[in-house]
Amino acid sequence: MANALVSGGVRSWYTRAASGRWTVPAFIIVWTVVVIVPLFLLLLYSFLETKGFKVVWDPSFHTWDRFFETGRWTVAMRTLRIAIGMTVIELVLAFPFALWLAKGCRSQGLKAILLTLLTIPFFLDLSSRTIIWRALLGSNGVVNTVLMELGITSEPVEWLIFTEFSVFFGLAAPYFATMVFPIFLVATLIDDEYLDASRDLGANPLQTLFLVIVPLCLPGVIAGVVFTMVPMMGEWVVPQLMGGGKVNMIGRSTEDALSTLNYPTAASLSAFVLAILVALLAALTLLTRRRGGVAGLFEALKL
Amino acid sequence: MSAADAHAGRRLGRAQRLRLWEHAVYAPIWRPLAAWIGLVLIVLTYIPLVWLVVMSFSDRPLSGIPHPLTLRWYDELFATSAWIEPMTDSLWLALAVGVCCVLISVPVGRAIPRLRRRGGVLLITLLPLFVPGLTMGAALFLFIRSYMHFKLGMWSVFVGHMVWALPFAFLLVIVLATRFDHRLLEAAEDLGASAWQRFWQIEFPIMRPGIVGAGLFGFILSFNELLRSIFLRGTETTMPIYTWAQASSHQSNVPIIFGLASLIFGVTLPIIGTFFWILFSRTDRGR
Amino acid sequence: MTQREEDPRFGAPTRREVLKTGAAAGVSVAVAGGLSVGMTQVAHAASDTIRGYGTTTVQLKDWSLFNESTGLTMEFTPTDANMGNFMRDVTVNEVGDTHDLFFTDGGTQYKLGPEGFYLVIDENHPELALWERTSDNYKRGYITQTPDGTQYGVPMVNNADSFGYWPEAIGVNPNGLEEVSWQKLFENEEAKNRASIDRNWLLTMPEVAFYMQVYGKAEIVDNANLTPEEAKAVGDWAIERKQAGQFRTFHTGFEEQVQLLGNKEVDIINCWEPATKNVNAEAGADVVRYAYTVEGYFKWGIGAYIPTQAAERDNLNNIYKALNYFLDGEYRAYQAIERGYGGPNLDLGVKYAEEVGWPADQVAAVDAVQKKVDTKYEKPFWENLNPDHQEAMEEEWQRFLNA
Repeated sequence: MANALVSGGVRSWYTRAASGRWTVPAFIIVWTVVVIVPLFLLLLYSFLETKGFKVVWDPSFHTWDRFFETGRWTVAMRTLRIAIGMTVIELVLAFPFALWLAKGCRSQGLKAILLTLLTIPFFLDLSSRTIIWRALLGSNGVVNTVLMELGITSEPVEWLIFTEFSVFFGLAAPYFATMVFPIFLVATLIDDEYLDASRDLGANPLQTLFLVIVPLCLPGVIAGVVFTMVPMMGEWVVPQLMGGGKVNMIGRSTEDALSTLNYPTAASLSAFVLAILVALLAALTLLTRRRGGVAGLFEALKL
Repeated sequence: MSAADAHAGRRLGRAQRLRLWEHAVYAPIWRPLAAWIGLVLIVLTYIPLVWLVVMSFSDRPLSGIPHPLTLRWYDELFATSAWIEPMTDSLWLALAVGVCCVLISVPVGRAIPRLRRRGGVLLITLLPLFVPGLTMGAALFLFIRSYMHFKLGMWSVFVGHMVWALPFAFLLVIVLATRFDHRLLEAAEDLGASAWQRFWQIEFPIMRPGIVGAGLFGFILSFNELLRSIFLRGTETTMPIYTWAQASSHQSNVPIIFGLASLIFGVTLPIIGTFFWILFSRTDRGR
Repeated sequence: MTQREEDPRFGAPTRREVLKTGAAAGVSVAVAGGLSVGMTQVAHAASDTIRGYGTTTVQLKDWSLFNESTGLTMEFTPTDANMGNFMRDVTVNEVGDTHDLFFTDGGTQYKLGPEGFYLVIDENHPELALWERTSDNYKRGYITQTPDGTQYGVPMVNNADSFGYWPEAIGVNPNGLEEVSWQKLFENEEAKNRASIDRNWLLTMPEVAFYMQVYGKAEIVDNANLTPEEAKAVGDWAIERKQAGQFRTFHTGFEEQVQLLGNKEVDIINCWEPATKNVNAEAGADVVRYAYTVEGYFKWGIGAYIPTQAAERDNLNNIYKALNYFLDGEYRAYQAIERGYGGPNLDLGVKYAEEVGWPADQVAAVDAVQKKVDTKYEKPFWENLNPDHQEAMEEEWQRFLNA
């Protein structure tokens, strides 16, 4: 009885929602209030300044001047460089694996095991996992001990930790699964007959890959890039623990600014990153316009 | 499932399909390479995880040497109750975020690809993702507390988590919705299926991985979220906030954190494993 | 024990003498300032629950000790030691609406006191029985008062911070009693790339400035309250040291400190004292030491403050009962043994440890805290955590981190 009521309720809710006439507008209104308005407020703050834990209402470019003078903008650039570089690496690594997992893996049991193994780490705190790498890669850690025992080096290798290399290394494993999942999801949906058709039409394997499979996977690739790059940009644990404070990224730099309740600087840091991302996207559009480039991407998303 | 099956083209035998893929993509080099990449990264992920579990039994957990062994940290973990309330709060909150992600992202997400101006809508939806957590937290704090003068609490943490998790859920749903052939729905409508039937019997089975993913991701993102919560907590304490605050206690919390992580590891492994097992063995039978 | 309490060397003036400035605005501490006796509202206990909000540095591992001794129940809401977060929570979030006590690093009362967020401590409150015997060295000064002498806080724990080190690696006597110069941390040419400093500008910048000041590397009036120009000079010099390869890493947290020192990733690190205790507990007794320095120390202290809103609730009696507990021996003994931190009425801590029958070495350890603290405060120190030009200091430090 109760069950019928519930399912009836779900049904009528769904039927109304399915029309889509009010769903999206209603969502956009709520989203604007909850997200866009606060962000806009914060952006306004970047034209104010703080004095002793208080924001002073005196519009100026002071914050932005200091932003460039103190080299804080390099934090934004470094963040983008590492996030974009690492995302490209993950894409190269994850794309073949995700395809294999979706289509090439013979055993359903193995597939279930691999997906489980990829999911579990998300539940566990990243900092406790990362601090362990420090012990393993440090100058007296296991890796260096083994290297020295084997006579490969006489001195401990010091760049294994507290360098940009170690930040990349520390990011590789935690952000692999975020790239695999969306591509895997999309790849499972690819109709095998497309491949058949492609072969019948005389395409070689490479042509099939780039002309059939990659375009069909594009929505997943785009989602994967977002899933991977976005959290990496705000990454808070790995740059500090693996970079040892020497690789200053936006997460910690924002924290430093906020420790003096300096909202304007925190705002300018984010605004700067957003501006550069928009500029990159625009440049990409221009560069690839002739080939349908970014527009093609959006076409793939049916956008 | 019949409509979905027709859609995915199941006329080829399984062995045939595999061969097709191997020919197309996985030339002899590619196939093992793809598998090996995954294996290496999974191993890299699990080295610190397994080490962490081992070290949770070590008398000197930060030293990197699992000797001598002890159950002391687990005793200590169960002797203190301070972490239990934050843990329960976090679990409920994550559950709420996961469920709400599904409830919102499915109807809205599947409607977006059918809109005429999708680009703008999608951009607005994804925008908060590109703002670092602390900054988003600060922005929401300014708005909710300084301007609207609402009292912060679990509800505001929930709002912060939704702003973080929902765009990811959208992406998953949208990705599957765009790959979905709408002619199937039209055909079903012609055959007299109701809106609910069309959704439940045709759309849902195809979108199921996305829906499950949206819920799961919402849960996970909320469960681990710290940076927005720092600003929106009021005086509430979630599990990440608890460990974050303990870092100022000038006492080592590693023993307890390691123990707790090992327990979470032990609990999630069978749950997630069973979940995927059922998901795939069912799909298999469907085929 | 009373000898220490009357020790004239023990307090802010020492620092002024040595630094010969006296002009340090905001730090000048009125040692015997006028007392303003505020609220004397005495009410019946309405609730036996005390809601505390503050940094986990003051927490007892097990609050049931507090509960049993006072008959109250502590509901502790933890936060970290970030002053920005704390001030935000008190002023904008109005945590005082729900909480009875704040625990935080001394200094917030300079702003939050006069602005009406804290109640003035009623020094004659009957429940605050131990106030009378508490030494002025602890109950007066930067941690608990404002420059005009208004009493806003009750002292809980404090320490004089320096750095931890592996004695043989930096070439000093392993008995830990030798005075070590800050030079070993900042300018040790023989052991480059073997030092780690805290990433936090509020902690490390005054230390660098202090070193520069003592050795005349720059004209600095108050190392804990730098002017923008001084901050720039400190930033420049720190960048020079960074580029010379002095620092292996910049740490942020307690676990990092323990790991860096314990795994010998670095030889010297300006960590918290409990980190060295932790390393020694793991790696063997007294293998690392926490420095007695040649030049001086960063003194910090955490106080308890009563939110203004508490005046309207009927539990001020209980609040004062709790404050009195923090002045008593049990709390003192546990802080001393768990973290090596000192605080008011250390003699009561020793007495408590003896009375409840702690092993002799633990009693000795509590007693040793007092001797250590006494020795350290003979040197100059600074204690300002609320500098006037925070933004300038933070931004200069940011320049250093990015260089």
